[in-house]
Amino acid sequence: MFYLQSSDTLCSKEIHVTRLRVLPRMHTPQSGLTDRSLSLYLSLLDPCEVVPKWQPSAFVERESFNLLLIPWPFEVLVKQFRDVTDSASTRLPADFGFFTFDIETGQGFTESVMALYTEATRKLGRVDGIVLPEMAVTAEQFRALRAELPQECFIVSGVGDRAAGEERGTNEVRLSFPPLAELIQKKHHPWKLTESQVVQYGLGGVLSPSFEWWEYGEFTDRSLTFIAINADLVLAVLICEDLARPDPVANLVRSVGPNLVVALLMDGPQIKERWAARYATVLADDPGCSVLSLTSRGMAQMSRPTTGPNRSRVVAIWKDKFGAAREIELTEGCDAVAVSLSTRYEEEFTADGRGDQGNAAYPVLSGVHPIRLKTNELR
Amino acid sequence: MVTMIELTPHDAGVLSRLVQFHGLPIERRLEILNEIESPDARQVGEAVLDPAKLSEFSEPVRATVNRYQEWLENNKRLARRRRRAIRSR
Repeated sequence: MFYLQSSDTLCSKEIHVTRLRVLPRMHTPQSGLTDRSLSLYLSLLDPCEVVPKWQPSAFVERESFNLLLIPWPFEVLVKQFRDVTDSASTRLPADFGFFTFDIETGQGFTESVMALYTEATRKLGRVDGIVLPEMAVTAEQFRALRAELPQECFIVSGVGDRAAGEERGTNEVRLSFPPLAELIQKKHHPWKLTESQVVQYGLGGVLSPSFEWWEYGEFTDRSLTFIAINADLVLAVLICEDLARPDPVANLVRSVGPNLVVALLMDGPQIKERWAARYATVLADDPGCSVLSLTSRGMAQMSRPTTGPNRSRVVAIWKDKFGAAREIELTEGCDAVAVSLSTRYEEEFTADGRGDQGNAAYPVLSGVHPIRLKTNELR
Repeated sequence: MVTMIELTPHDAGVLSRLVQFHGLPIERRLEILNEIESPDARQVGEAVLDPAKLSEFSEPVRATVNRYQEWLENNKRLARRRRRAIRSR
C-alpha cells in the first residue's frame, strides 16, 4: 500500500503539482496502447484543475465486505424541483433557466436507515458500509445518521442543500470512514435538464419543457478523493454527471484505476440500456474498475419510459471486468439491497510485457440480498 | 459504545505510516510522530509507539489505537490471502 507524505502526489517537493503529479495505480489498461500502459504501480498525471486526494483509512476488511444500498428517498415529488432563474445571481439567455432541488427533511430518515441496517446485519452478520444516492440527505441528516451508526460501518452519501436567493445550492458526496473525519467532495458538473428529461420525469408543471434547465449549484473547487481501504481496494466516488463527462475527472480515474468506483445518481432506473451502464462498461474495460451505480427509488419511480415496461425498481447496477452489467432490483416489498463484494486477483501486464504476478485486485459481486423494513410505519 | 478520536486527513495519513512501518528505527518513527498536528492524534501516536503505556490514555485514544492495531493485523492477513490466491492459480 502507498502512504503519500502529502495527499496529492508521490513526487518530492522539487516537482511542483502544477507541473505534474505521480499517484499510485491500481489497474493498468490491458487493451489499447497509451502512456498508461507503461507502468503497473504508478500513474503520471498532467496538471489539471481537479485536485486528487489520496487518503488511507483504517477500515478493517474481512474475507468479503457487505454494502447496504439504500435508494433513499423512497419518494420524490415534482414540487421538490423549483425554478430559481429570477433569484439567481447569473443571467442566462432566454431559453435557459436555473432549477434547484429541495431535499425533504421530514422525520424518519435515521430511524429507517437504522432499521434497515439492523435487518441487514441480522441477515448477513455484518454491514461494512452504507451507500446512499446523490442528494439523498442534508448535512444535518448525515450527521444524525453518523452519530447513531456504529463506527465500524462507513457511509458514502450524496448530501446537498437547495439554492436560496442568490446563494447557490450544494451537491456533494460525504465519505465517513471513522476514525477519519468526514471528507467532502463536490460534484464537478451541473445537471442540465433537457426537454426530454423534463417530460421523462414529469416535471412540466414546475419547469417548462421549452427551456433547458441548469442545476443552480456550486461547482468550483473540484477534487477527487481516493480512499485506500486496504492494499487491494481503493475507492473513488463520482456524482452523476461526473461519471459521464470525459474531462478532466475521467482522466484521473483512468490513470489511477481505483478498484471500485461508486456512482451516486439522481436518475431513472439503472437498466442496462441506460447511460450509467454504458459509462460503467467503459471504466470496466479500461482501466478495469468495478463500478456500482445507485439511484433513489423516488427518482426511479418518477421516470416514465417512452417505450417498454416500467422498470422503476431497478435502483442499482454492477459492472466489473468479468461479466455483463448486472441490474440490481428491489424485489416487491423490499426497501434496500445488501450486496457482498469479494476480491478476485488477476495478473496485469504493461505494454512491454512486465507482469504484476497476479496482484491486480478486482472486487466482484458475490451476493445480492433484499432487505425490508419490518414495519410499514417507517416507509 | 466508545467513540474513537476523530482524525484529520493529514493525521490519519501519518498514523497509517506510523503503524504500518513498525520495523523502522525508533528515531525515524519519532520523526513521523512529530508530523502529527493535533494533540489527540499525537496521543494515539504515542500509544502506538509505547503500547506498555496504553492504559494511561483515555478510552477514545485506546479505541483508536486498537482500531489501528486491528487494521495492521488485517493487512497482514490480506497479504497472506493474496499470496494464497496467486499460488492457487
